[in-house]
Amino acid sequence: MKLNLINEKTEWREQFPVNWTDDEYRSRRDFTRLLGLTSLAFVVGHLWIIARNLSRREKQKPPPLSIARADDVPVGGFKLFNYPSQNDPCVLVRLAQNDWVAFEQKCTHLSCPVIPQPQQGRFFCPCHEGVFDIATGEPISGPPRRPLVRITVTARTGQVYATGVGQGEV
Amino acid sequence: MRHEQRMVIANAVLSIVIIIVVLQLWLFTATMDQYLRGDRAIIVPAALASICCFVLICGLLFVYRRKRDR
Repeated sequence: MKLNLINEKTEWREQFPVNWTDDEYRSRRDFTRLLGLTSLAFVVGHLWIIARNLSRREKQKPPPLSIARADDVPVGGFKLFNYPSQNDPCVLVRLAQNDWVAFEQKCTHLSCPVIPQPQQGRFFCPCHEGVFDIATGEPISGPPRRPLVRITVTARTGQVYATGVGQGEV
Repeated sequence: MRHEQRMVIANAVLSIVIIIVVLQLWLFTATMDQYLRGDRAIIVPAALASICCFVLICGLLFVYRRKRDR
C-alpha cells in the first residue's frame, strides 16, 4: 500500500519530487548517530557513579563519636543519635548484652524515618509500611528493596562509639 | 552501492546498535541499584563493560561510514 502511494504518479509529485528511499536512509542514519550519543551518555553515567563512589569513600571515614553510655540503653532498647553530621539521624539498638547495631534512620524507599520495634525484631516505616530486619537492616516487606545504611559501632569501657558509615559488621 | 543495499546495511547496523544501547541501559540501572544497595565492587567492571559497548558502537558506525564512502 505504501509502495503504491510512493510510486503513484501524480502531478504534484512531479513538481515536488521526494526521494523516499534516500529520506528513510538518512533518518535511520541520523537515529543511529543519536543512539551513539545515548551510549556515550550511559558511559558518562557510569563514570559519574565511580566519581560519586570515590567522593563517598572519603566521607565514610568520619571521626569516631561517643553516642551513648552502655548503661543508658537496656537490652531490647534503642537510642536516637546523629552521625556523622547533625543532619544524619540514626538509631542505635541493643539486641543483646554485647550486641549493638546502628543504622541510618532513613527508609531506603522514600527517606521517611523508620521506627525501631525491637520486640518485633524489625524497623517499621509508617509511610508505606516498609519493614526491615532489625539485626541486618535488610528489607523484609513493603516497597523498600535496599537495606538500611549501617553505622558501624563499637562498645568499650561502658561507652558506645559510632566509628563509620556503610557496610561492615559491628 | 545500490539504495536497497544501503538500506539493508543501515537497518542491520541500526538493529545491532539498538540491542547494544538497550544492554547498556540494563547495565546502568543494575549498576545503580547495586551501588545504592552498598555493593561497590560491581561499578568499575560495569563501567568497563559500558565503555566496551560504546567503543563497539563507534566501531560499527566507523566501519559503516567507510563502506558508505567507498
